[in-house]
Order: sequence, then structure tokens, then C-alpha cells
Amino acid sequence: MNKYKKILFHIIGLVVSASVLFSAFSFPTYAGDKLIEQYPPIESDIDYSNNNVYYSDYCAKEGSDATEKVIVPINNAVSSDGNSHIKNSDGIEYFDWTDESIEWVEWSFEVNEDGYYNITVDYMALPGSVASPTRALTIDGKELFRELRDIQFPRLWTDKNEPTVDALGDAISPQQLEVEKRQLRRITDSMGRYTEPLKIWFAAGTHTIRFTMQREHLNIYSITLLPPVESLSYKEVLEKYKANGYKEATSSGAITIEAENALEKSDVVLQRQYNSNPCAVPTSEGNRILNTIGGANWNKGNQTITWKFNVSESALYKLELRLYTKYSDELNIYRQIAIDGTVPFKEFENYCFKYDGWRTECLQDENNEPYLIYLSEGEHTLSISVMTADYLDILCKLEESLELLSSDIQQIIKVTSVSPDSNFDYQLNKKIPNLLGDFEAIAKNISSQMTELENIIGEMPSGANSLLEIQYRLEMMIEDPYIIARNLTYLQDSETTLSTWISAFNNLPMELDYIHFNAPQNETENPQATFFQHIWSLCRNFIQSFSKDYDVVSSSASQETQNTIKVWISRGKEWGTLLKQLSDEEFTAKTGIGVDYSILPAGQLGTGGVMMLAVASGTAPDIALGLDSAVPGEYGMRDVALDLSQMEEYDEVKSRFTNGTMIPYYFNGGTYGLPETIDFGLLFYRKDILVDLDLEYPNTWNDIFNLVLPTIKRNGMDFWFEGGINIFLFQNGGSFYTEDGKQSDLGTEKAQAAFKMYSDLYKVYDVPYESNFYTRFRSGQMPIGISTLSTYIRIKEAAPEIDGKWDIALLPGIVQEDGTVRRDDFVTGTSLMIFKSTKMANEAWRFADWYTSSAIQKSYADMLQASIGSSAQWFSANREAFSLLSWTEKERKIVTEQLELVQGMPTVVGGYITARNLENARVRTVIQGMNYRESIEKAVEDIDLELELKREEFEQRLKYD
Amino acid sequence: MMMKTNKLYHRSGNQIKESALASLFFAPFAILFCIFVIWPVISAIYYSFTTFSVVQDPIWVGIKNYRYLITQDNVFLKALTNTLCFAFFSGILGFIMSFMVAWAIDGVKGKMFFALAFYAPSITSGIAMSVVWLYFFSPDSYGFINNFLLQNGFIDSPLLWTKDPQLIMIIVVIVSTWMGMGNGFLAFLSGFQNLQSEIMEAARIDGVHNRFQELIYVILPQMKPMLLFGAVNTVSTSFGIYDVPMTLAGSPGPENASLTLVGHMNDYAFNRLDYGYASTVAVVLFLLTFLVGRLMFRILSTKEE
Repeated sequence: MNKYKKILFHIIGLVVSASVLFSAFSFPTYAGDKLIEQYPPIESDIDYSNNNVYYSDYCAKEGSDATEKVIVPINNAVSSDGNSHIKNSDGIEYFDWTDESIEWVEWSFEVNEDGYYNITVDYMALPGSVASPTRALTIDGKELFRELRDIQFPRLWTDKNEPTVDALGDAISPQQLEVEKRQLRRITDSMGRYTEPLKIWFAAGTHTIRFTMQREHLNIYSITLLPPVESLSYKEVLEKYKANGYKEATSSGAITIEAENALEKSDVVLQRQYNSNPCAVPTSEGNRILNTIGGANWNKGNQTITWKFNVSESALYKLELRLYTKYSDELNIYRQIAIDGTVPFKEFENYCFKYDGWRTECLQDENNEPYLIYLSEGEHTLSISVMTADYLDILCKLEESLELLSSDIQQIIKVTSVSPDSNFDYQLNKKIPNLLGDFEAIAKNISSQMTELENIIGEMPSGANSLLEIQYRLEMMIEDPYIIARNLTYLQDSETTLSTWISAFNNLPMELDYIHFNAPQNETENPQATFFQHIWSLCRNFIQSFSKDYDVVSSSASQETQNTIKVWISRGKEWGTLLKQLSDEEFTAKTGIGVDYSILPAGQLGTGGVMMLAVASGTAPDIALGLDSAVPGEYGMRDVALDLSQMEEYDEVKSRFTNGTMIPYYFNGGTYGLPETIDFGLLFYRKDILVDLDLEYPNTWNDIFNLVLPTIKRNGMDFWFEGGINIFLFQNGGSFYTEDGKQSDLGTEKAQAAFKMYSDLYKVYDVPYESNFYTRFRSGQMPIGISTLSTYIRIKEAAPEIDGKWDIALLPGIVQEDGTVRRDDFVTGTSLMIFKSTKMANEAWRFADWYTSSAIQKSYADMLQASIGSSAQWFSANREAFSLLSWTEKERKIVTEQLELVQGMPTVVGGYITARNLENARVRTVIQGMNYRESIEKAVEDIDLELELKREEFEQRLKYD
Repeated sequence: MMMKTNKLYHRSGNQIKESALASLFFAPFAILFCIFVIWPVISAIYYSFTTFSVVQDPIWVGIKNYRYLITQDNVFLKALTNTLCFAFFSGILGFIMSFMVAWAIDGVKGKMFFALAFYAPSITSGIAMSVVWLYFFSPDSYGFINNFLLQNGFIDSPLLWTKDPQLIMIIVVIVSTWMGMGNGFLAFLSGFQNLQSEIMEAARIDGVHNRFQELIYVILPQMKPMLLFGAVNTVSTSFGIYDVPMTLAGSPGPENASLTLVGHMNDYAFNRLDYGYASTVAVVLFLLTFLVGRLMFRILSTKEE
């Protein structure tokens, strides 16, 4: 017994010492738990083997449509957290998906009959951001085809009020209001690629259907499997009309709908527009009126606008639209037209409009016979939605080529490295046997898709030449494979060209002026503005431009206020208009302080611009918004900006921002500005690719340098870095200036080490200094990188094909002596400043206080999103408002944690010189090959000289004053 | 001097009336000239002795700015070298080339077409032209020149035309020479048209028997006024060069490689809010241009002038 004990003891000892030994040699990993958690577990319970199957392949399989409907019992929901979440209100049971922690929910149900079904969902979108709730659908634990990954459940929007007119006589776009109501929807794909709702095959038996969270919340009231409805052809419908004895409308019975007066819209960006065309109805007399709808924003698949109208005579009508489709890309535009929610006949499922200017178009067949629509007496709705179906084939084929090209490029890079020797014969055609075959397939495909496009449109769009050039170059490479290596960059650029084209097919805008249901015997009137009308309206606008101040934003309400503060905004006019609306309602009404806004072109409010001249000539406003974060400090030290730290409740206002965000506004004990928006760095990574490469989430820069960079470089991919030396400097515990701000602190060991890491990134690891991260991240060529919040929005909004495949994370950090990891980040942004010359310092401060408060920042962010679209994301510097933006729960945790770690650039006298010398140091080291130590020391020398000189100037001024 | 005063003294009433009328016609120009040229120059000279941030009152500092400029400002030296280099190439080279081109075009059919073609770049804004040239010198593989070099295997990776301090100089010179060519061009062309054929004939009789001799012994001496005009014009525009290097490589550019005197001045005025020092640079630039202009006069002017 003792002997065994002894052996056991030895074994345990061995194991313990081995593990101690190993752990000492193993990589420093982050001890905390939440970061490891961030790395998503590979979803193993869902079968993704149909990754490359599109719906068009799926539904081509044999099988008949079902005939009976199947009701999915809503109350046997099984969700990821084990609770049922079934609520009951007024006897109606529904699945309540407000809880952030619900990742998925599943229902099982019985099907009695083999066949294709439409899945119909009765849902209500819950207020949140402006984005549509989106879910991924899997059936029986399997993703049947790609389109099911992102199924959208649109919200409904309407104008809050009729447009009002501002003091200049220009109309103000009404705010958008979400209509909270239940919608019954047969699920369709999210891009408008298929004219009919998606059909899904269910064999008789038990099935499960799972909804997986993508974004936004909704309640589900019922799920039904309905037999698909096949639309009748127009011929059949016409016969039905005859059989029913419907008569044509009398000539006086025309119905006109002004398109701008829409009932409901499926996307918040579908708004009233202004058109100055002399034939637009109503016609503008020189002022901005909102007389059309849609435009460039009505371009994405499935965006629907619905109108309500009254019919006084049951009869047959023809449909006429006054519309404009002359946008870029010269493509045909497609729309689906439905009356009372159903498409009247097949031809309206996907009606084609040519690329052309303003005209009244009667919807008709190829023999110019107008399509007749039967409308019974009473109220009806008309819905028009964007379709991209006719380009589907081309789109898919080009996507295939794009994927092929991407994989070829990666294979080439494996042989040649990222920068091949152009005079070396790599014999790529032998080393990659399928290469020439692939190129041939791509070239052929492009050529046949272009012919196809020509057939659809009638002529080749001029932009297609770039695709034909790819084809031509590929053919040249096939002839002489020796030149493939030196064309590597060209191939990479071709990837971008292809993906740009693919997105062009998803961009089909149309502007609508009015809709006519006209009697068939009436002529279609197509008024066109004459040359002189155009000239006249141009002249009128020109003359008006002398008297009308376009830069002023003022409101309709002529508010009687004694004290009005003047605000300059260096942003677009919409930003000013919306802020005006907000301050009229929330600020002026409560405080009695009026606000006048002037719009200045972006960039005019820099250190050297208009603002300086205004100060010099004594015409400065009271507050300026939208300034670069360095500006308030620069003006503060010159005694132009007001020291806000002396104002009432300053501490409360200051506490709305993180300490790091406030840094640029401090100077010499005073605070000269407040941050408005922020932007900072985050780590972006492609989950799918990192899993393929067997890479862990990079926790520290050591991981990046030793694991990530070698691996992705070896696989022909690249890393992206946006941010400069700041990140390394802060994480290393260094700073830009010495404590007193009189000297550069970049000469310290810490700063030198930071500069070495920064320059090594480019010098040793050959990370590209300039590139298009967004495109390369989409294509997978840069599967990981550091970029800013603006990139986050771009990827989230404009890269639907990688939805769910990527994530953001905290920046990688540097391990400190005590074992913790510092993940400091830089921050940039815009700010506001109060001028010292103001006579209404207190009023201006109250405005600043009001403007930066959480509630106002949140409403402003929402309003901007609603009227400009989700691309106008307002990343408020107010930490509470920032955390309330439309993040998913996981993202919110990351961004708010990162926000606490940001640091701005401190303001010192002559501080502008630092960035410039750091850039010079980078050029010296990376391009000219100078030793990093020498290079940074020269920078320190130059910075110190300038700082000293500038300080001398300031001391002189102090003496003088 | 005596003569002059006497003459003035003996003016009749009519003459006074006449000169008053003349002054009236002259006044608009004189006033505008004073307001927009003389006054700014004087105030610039004043400000060059102050430290002045526009938003605050100027403080008199004596010759401190000049002392710093001469003894300490390395960047100024860099800017000066750059400017002189640009001025030399785009000035002298452009001057000679535009003369040659004018000489070549003179007598060719469709002269006006060529004249327009050569003159067009000079009247177009430098920024627009630089943007056009960026297609050629774009520092990625898209750039025409890089693409050509890559395609034919001269280089392995794109040359950083607008990023590498050593290359920036070359492209700025190329672009600004091309743009500066039109400066003297029209003057030369009109000079060629005014050549007196009698002198040519006489020269031929005296033994000039090829076009080169004709150029050197006959044409050049007759063209001196145009050459002078062209030279002064070219030099002054070359010293004022700013928008071309700024658009191509940014100002001051990596390692100040594309910084010119005007760029240096703008940097101080608008980025560093030091109008005093910017005025100092402006005054020096003014003196420099003036001196080089005088030098041109000395070299090219005929004795009679």
C-alpha cells in the first residue's frame, strides 16, 4: 500500500512539475475570462454543408407545391436559454424576443403532406434602432440554402406630420415615426433577388424550425406554412375580367396619387424628396418643396412604399407612373407592384423600367397594350417594391468568379509571396495546375455575363469596360503564364472591380412623382419641360441665390426670444436642420433661449479657416460645433475659447465623457471644449477564416507578431493597421510630452520601443500602409485588422454577405511587468467650443450642457439615422448615449470597455509639430531604411526645437499682456 | 531736375485741367493698386517684425523673426533649396524648352492649334493639372508609369512616387516644367512673328547658311525683349510654386520633400497661426524674386534700355 502511495506521489509530482514547466514556457495568455469568451464557439449543432447552395438551385429540385396549410403551434417554443418566453396579452399568445440573451428559438411541428411551402410569420418589430430585425433560419438543424442566413422582418415607417416650412420658405423633411403593428409576411430573401416568397420543401413527418438571432428584436405571433400561390399570367387575368364583365373606367374617373404622400414605408430612408424639374407636381416656385419620393435611397431589394387611395367607380384602370431612373450604372430598374398586398398578375412581379429621365410611363406589355387592373369601389393600397431578380443570374455567376479569383490569388501568393520578383519565372501554371483553367473559366464567364447583360439592357453599360478589361488581361495571362506573377496586384484590383460591380446590381434607385390610375381610353400625358422652362428655372434660382442665405437654418416657428445665441456648424445641412428641430422643441421651448444656426462647409472651421478671420474681425458666433478635436485647445491657448471649467455644473457635464476623451480639451488648467463625437480603434476579425487558419484570438501584440502575422502572410493574406504610434505608445506606458508639456517625451525607452513595434509592422512584416480594408476584409484577404468605428458601420451596413462571419474585439495589448495587459487606444473626433467674445456665455453654456446630455445625444443620433440612413451613425462622445446605440449585446460590452481605455492627444503649445515629425520618422525608417532609434531621436530633436520656440512666443505674449 | 520743376511751375491752367482729368482716369487704378498691392506689402513688412496670431494683437519683436530665419530655421533652408531647385528646372528648363517649341512651331501649318495645345496647361489651375498627373504617378500599381514598369518587369513593387522624399522632387519638376512651359511661350511666338525679314535677308547675304546660325546670330538678338519678359515671368511664377507640389505630395510632404517657400509661409500662417513669421518668409520671398528678376534684366536687357 505504501509502495503504491509512493508511486502515486511521484506521478503527481511529475505531472505538477511538468505542468509548471510548460506553463512557464508557454505563451503569456490573458488571465481574464471575458476575452476568451469573446471568441465564438464554432457552431457545431448546425449543418452548414449547404454553404454554397443558392435558393435558385434549391427550388429547382422536383416536387409539387403543398395544398394545405400547416400551423406551427407557437406556444411550444424552445429557446436557447431554456425558457419558453411565451407571453399572453388579451388572449393572444406570442413569443416575446426582447431578452438579449436569447440566441435562438426553435419550434417543432407535424407536416402531413409532402410539398413546397411558404413560411409565413406574423410578427411585430420592437422599437430599437432603424435597422430591420433579422434572423437566420435553419430547418431540422440544417441551413438549406444561403439566403436563409439573413431573413429580414421589416419595420414600418410613416411621416410624423405634414412637411413644415422654415423661415426661408423651404420645406423641412418630416420626422419618421415607426408604426408599431403586427405584420403578416411570407418570408422572402433580403435582397429582392426572387420575385416570389421562398418555397421550402417539407416531407410528411415531424420537423423543427429554428430562428437564430442576427439583429434587433421582434415578437412572433404565429408561424404558418402556406401553400405557395402561383400568380396568374395577365392573359388569364384578362379572361377573368371578361368573364366577370368588368367594364373600363370612364374617362373622367382617373385617380391621382401624389407619390410623396405615402402611407407606409418599409425603410426609414424612404422619404419625401425635392425635385426642381419644371414639370414636377406640385411645381417648385424656387423654394424647396417635397414633391417626390424615393430617389437614390430607394435602391435596395425589398424596400417597399405603400400608398392608400380611394376608388369611386369599380372598373378597369391602366397604371401610369411619373418617374425618374437616370442614375449611374445605366442599368434597368425593376419593381414589383402589388394591389392590396397581392401582385395582380405575373407581369407585375418584376416589371422593368428603362434607364431614363423624367417621364410618365404607362405600364404596358411589349405590344404597347396597357396592363389593365380591376379596382372595386372603396379603399385600396398600392405597394411598389424594389426587385433585383433579373440580375440574379449574372450576379451569382460573377460572385462565383470572384470567389474563384480570390482563391487563385491566395494560391499564387503561396508560391510567389506578396511581392513577387517580376523577372523570375515561377512556373505558376505547373505549380498550380488548375490556375489556367480557372482563369479561362473566369474570362469566359465574364464575357458571357456581359453578353447576357447586353441582352437585358439592350446595350452595354459604359462601366462594363472595366470587366471586359479583366477578361482581356486574363486571356493575355493564359497565353503567357510567365506574366501572371507580375500581374498579381492587378489581379487583386480585379477582385475589387468585380465586387463593386456585384454591388451595383443591388443598387436600383427610382424617384417617383405621382401615380395615375387612368381610364384606358385616355391618352397618357407625358409632359416634358421645354428648353426655355429649364433655362427659366435655372435663372430664377440664380437670381434667388443673391437674396437667399442658404447657409442659415431657421425654423418655421417665429419664436419671440430676447436672447438668441449664434451657432456655427461645420457639417451637412441635414445635420443643422435636425438639430434646429430638436433645439426648438427641447431647448428653446424650455429655456426661452433662441438658437440660430449657420452651416459652414466641412473643414472651414480648422485652425486657419473662416473661424479665425471671424474672430479677428469681431464677427465670431457664440458656439461652434463640428470642430476637429485639436481646435478648441489651439484657440484656448490663444485666449479665444472660453474656459468651460469655470462654468456652473462643469463637473457634472465633464463626467458624461471618459477621462481619455477629454484630454485634448485641457490646456494649462482650463478646459476649452467638449467632445461631440468620437472614433477609436477596434480589432476586426473574420471568425470563419481564423478558424480555418487554426488561429486563436490575438490577445497581445506578441500574438500578432509571432502568430497571426506569420500565419496569415504564409497563407497569402494580410493584416491591416490604422492608428499610428499612439496605440503602442500608450500601451507601453509612454506619453507624447513630458509632465510640464514643454518637451517631447518620445525619446524614452518606452517610446522608442513603441516606435520600433510600429515601424516593424511596416518594415519587417510588410503590412500595407495604404489599402482598402473594407473590400479586403469582405473578400477575406485581410481577415484581421485594426480599424475604426466608421469601418464598423461600413462593414455592418454594406457587407451583408459576411454577416455573422465577423466580429469586433478589444485591441490587442501589451503585457505589463505585473502580468496585466494594457489595451489603451487612441481617440479622435469632433468637438464644440464657446467663444470668449460671446456676450451670452451662460446661455451658450446652457446650450452646450443641453446638447451634450445623454437624452439629447440619443435623440439626435436616432433622428440622424432616420432621415439620412444608417450610414449617418452618430458616435456620440457621451458615454451613456454611445452605449445606447444599436449594438448587439456582445458588441456593446466590447465598445464600452474599449471606450474607457481611449486617450486623446494632449494639447501643448506647438503640438501640431508632433504628428508631422512622427510621420517623417516613419518615412525615414520604413522607406529610407534609417535605424529606428536614430529616426525617433531626430524627431524628438525637431519637436523640442519647435516647442521651445512656440513657448517663447507665448511667454512673450504673457509678458505683453 | 531744375528743368522739371520749371516746367511744372510754368504750367498753364489748361495743362492743370488736363492733368486733373488724367488723374481722374488714373485714380481707380491707383487707389486699387494702393489698397490691394502697396498696403499689403507695407503691412506684411510691418508684421514681419512682430509676432502675430491674427486673433490677438501683434507684438513688436524687432528682427527676431529674421534672426531665426537666417540662423535656426532648417526647414526654411529645405524649402529654399526645394524652391530653387524647382525654379531652376521648371524656370530655366521650361524657358529654354518653350523657346525651342515656339521656334519649332513657328512656320508650321496649324500654328494656332499647337499654340493652344502648349498654352493650355498654363492657364489651367495647377491643382487640376496635378490631379491629371497623379494618374501617371499614382504610387500604387494603378499608376500609368508604375503599371508600365511593373508590366515590363523593371520593378517588383510600385514606386512610391508621391511618398518617397527622393522621388517627389523628380515628379514635381516634371509636372511644373510641363506647366511652366506656356509662360514665355506666347511671348516667344509673337516675337517670332515680328522678326524683320529684311534683317534675315541681309544676314543670308552676309553668309548665314543654316537655321542654327540664323537662330543665334539673327533671331536671338532681335528677341531680347521677349526673352526678358519670358524670363522674368518664369522666374516669378517658379518662386511662387505651391499648388503643384501640394497636390502631388501634400505640403510639407514626407520629410519636407515637397515644401516650397510659399508652402512654408502657408504652414506658418494657417497651421501654426504665426502670421508674423509667415510675413517674414513672404518678405524674403519678395526680395528673392525681386533680386533674381533684376539679375535677369542685367543679363538680358539691351544697352538702350
